[in-house]
Amino acid sequence: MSAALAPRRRDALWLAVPGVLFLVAFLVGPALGLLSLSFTDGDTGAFSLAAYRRAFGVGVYTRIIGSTFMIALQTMGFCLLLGYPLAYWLAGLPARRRRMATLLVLLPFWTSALVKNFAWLVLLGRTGIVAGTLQALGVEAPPDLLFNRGVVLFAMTHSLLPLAVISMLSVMTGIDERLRPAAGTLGASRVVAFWRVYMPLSMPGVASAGLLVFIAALGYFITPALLGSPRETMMGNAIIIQVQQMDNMVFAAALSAVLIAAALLTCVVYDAIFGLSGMSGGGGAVRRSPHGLVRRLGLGLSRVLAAVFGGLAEGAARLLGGHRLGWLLPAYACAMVVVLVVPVLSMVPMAFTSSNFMSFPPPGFSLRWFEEYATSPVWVSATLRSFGIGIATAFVTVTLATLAALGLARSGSRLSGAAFLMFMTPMVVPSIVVAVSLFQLFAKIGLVATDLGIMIGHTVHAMPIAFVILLATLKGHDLRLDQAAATLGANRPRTFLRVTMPLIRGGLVGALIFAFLASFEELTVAMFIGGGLRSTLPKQMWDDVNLQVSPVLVAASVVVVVIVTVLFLLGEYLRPGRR
Amino acid sequence: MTDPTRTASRRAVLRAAGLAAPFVFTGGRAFAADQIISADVGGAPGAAIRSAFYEPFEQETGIRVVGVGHEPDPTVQFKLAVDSRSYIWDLCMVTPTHVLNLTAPRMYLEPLNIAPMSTLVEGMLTPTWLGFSVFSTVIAYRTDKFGDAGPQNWADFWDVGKFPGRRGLYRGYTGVIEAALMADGVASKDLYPLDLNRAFRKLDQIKPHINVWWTSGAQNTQLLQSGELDMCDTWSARAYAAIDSGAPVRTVWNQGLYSTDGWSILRGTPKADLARQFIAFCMKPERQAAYSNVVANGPTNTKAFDFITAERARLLPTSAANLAGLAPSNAAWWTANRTKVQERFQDWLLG
Repeated sequence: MSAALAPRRRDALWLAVPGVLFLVAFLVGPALGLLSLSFTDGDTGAFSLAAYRRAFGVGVYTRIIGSTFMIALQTMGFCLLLGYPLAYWLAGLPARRRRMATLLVLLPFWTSALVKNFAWLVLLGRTGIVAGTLQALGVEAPPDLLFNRGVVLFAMTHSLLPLAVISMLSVMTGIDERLRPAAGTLGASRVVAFWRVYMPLSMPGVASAGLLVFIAALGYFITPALLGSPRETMMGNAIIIQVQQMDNMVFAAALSAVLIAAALLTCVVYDAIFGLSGMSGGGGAVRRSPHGLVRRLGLGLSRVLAAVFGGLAEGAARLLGGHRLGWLLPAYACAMVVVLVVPVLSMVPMAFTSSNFMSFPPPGFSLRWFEEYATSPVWVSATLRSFGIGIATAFVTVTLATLAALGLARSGSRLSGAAFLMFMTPMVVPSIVVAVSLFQLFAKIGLVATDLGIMIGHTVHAMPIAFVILLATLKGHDLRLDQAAATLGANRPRTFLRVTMPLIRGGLVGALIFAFLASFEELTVAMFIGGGLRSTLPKQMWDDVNLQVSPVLVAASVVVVVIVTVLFLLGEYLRPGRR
Repeated sequence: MTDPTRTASRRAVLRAAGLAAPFVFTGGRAFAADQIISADVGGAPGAAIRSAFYEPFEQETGIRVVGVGHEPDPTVQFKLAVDSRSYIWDLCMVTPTHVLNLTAPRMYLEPLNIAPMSTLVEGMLTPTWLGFSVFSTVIAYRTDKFGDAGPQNWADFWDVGKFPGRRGLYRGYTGVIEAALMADGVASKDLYPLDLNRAFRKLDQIKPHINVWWTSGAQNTQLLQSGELDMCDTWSARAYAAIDSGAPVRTVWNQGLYSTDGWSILRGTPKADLARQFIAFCMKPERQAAYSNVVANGPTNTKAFDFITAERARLLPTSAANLAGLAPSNAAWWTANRTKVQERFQDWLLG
């Protein structure tokens, strides 16, 4: 559309070039190197398809591929079903309370996956507090809560729910609240207005949440390894076993290729249905959907649902004689927030434990683990390094991602779909593949065991999250405002600084925070590129988790949660234009 | 909120960030000439290695040893470092299985050229490797469940009628195959080459009774410590970590398997001579005793027991009484058959 309005100008897609070049150099190039390895013979280096024959010939790997997809799909389903009402509730809150509530939803996202998994081991164990409560309630033999498919799905949903909620929330807060009263004046009940107006408008958020969760879930390995039975073995685990135990890079590369191909295929299918890359063609409402059939199906479905739920609500209202059910949603949301926060909060008493192990409730009070954390040069330097790398990563990532999102939002080029996929690619490459391929590249150019090397790896890792947030924000941004500024004589940088940026500030801050957190949480790249010399906080926690389950790491994660909470609040406080 | 406050806090943030920066970004790798980097297993054993070996070595020679943690299996990083000639480590803590993977088909190790001490256990010094810490895979059980009458061998472990309770086994197959064969009556000296068909037939019997297939040493300690499991295979030092914290756990040395952690030098590192000096230092009995007094692994220099109390020695795999019940894990067999067993084991687990 913008291309039609400004045919003389260079297509805006060039703004994506720096980011694309970055990703080509540090993701595609090294990954292609690894993929070409997958078609070789490990000993001779000659061309060979042996690795692929093995992946699809031996039963175990086809089964692993199947269960990986099943687990990722189920996790996505749970995240969307459980997350939608929560995001809906958040979107309806006044801005200030929403920020506070969002903080609580994000809290578990900041704590290391390793620590959360160990918290579940303690809380859900046979001698844990949940089993104890069940016994006290008279359940004779409490069920096995650990080491099955259920607990893996629960823990993965728990980990990824904040991501889903935030993705949906960013779209929902952009929905014009006046649309529903408008629907009301046209005769729609609240329920019908929700299904026929709000729901379709929130679908882009649901779709991007689904995509992010599904692809993130595909690459999971810590949760299935710690909380699952062998039947929950996922491809991430299989790849790590090949790399770390079997030393079979060729086969690991082939498994990675299968995973990448499958995830990319998912992206393409998703793109065909929801047309995320199509959003680069202009404003969603104006865009002529090329997939009218899907659109009509969706609208038809929403009409049916509206009729069903509208009728149900009416019946319920008659049955309950005017009793309001409005408390249900807040009650549900509060329950969700409590469940989200429980493992994080349980860490606080566990960190003050006098025992040598993580146990809940702790047998006694002690500050020794905090003392050990604060006086250990290892933990302190790891903490400082994580912050430094995280901040640098956030700024580099958001700079590249903002340019790219701007370019894509304005471009009419056919290449924009490809550029979109390019920026999403880091999410579909398991971090172990990113890490190993970058290690091979960095070893050649002397970036191994440097903070810069880790930062580059983290920028690759953080790019999709920042990019998706910014693209969703810019999709809600009315381009006509920029065009208006242009007609009034503002050049492009000026328009960006004075018009676009103030309007997308929320998205920018969100992208900075998420990019920082992506770096702050990242383990695999830090593990390989750090070479053991430059330990970040997650790497230090990983070492601790693997070699001793000591409450020091719980103390460390409590410190981290406190520091990050303070940072987040500070960010909110410093954000100009607060209302 | 007034503007001055906002400016002030912004400045404060910038200042804080500026102050923190030098601590974080401390440039590239500018190491003193008399410093070597040693990749060890990190964590609690890493701290013990530092106090027992690194620090005394620096006091004696002035050569600083910087310990860094490596992955459970360092082979991949080891090879990449040598191939790329980026010596992020000078020496590395490895087991005989790692050594075999690092010597053939390509040689990744620097020759040690160290004269052996007569009191060193046989096989603990090879041309490229010095073993300094013996660890073992044994049975552990909870005494609050079984008293002192827990499973005494693998046949007992398999006997779910006589020893009811929750069981765990290692998901990493090494040691588990041997356990199955011993449970089936194979003597520990006749284990290798492993009869896989027989082992998997025996594993079929125990499979429905395994509650947890554990994956990491820390998880193993946690499972034993919390009482999630009543019996489990374990690495002896892991069980002792649980015992040290007060958990009612006991280990059974009978029918255990042992392997050894040791040092190897990265081929081509410019600091090879300093690393050799350090490795020779690690043979000293006082040093090995200092290590075994913290981590419940056995010294490889028998003279080290002169510096270890009899009470402590009972916990160590290489004390004469315990070693009698243990058999060595066969690194050569495992190196040759690893892929085959791993695949079959994974397939079996999923099936």
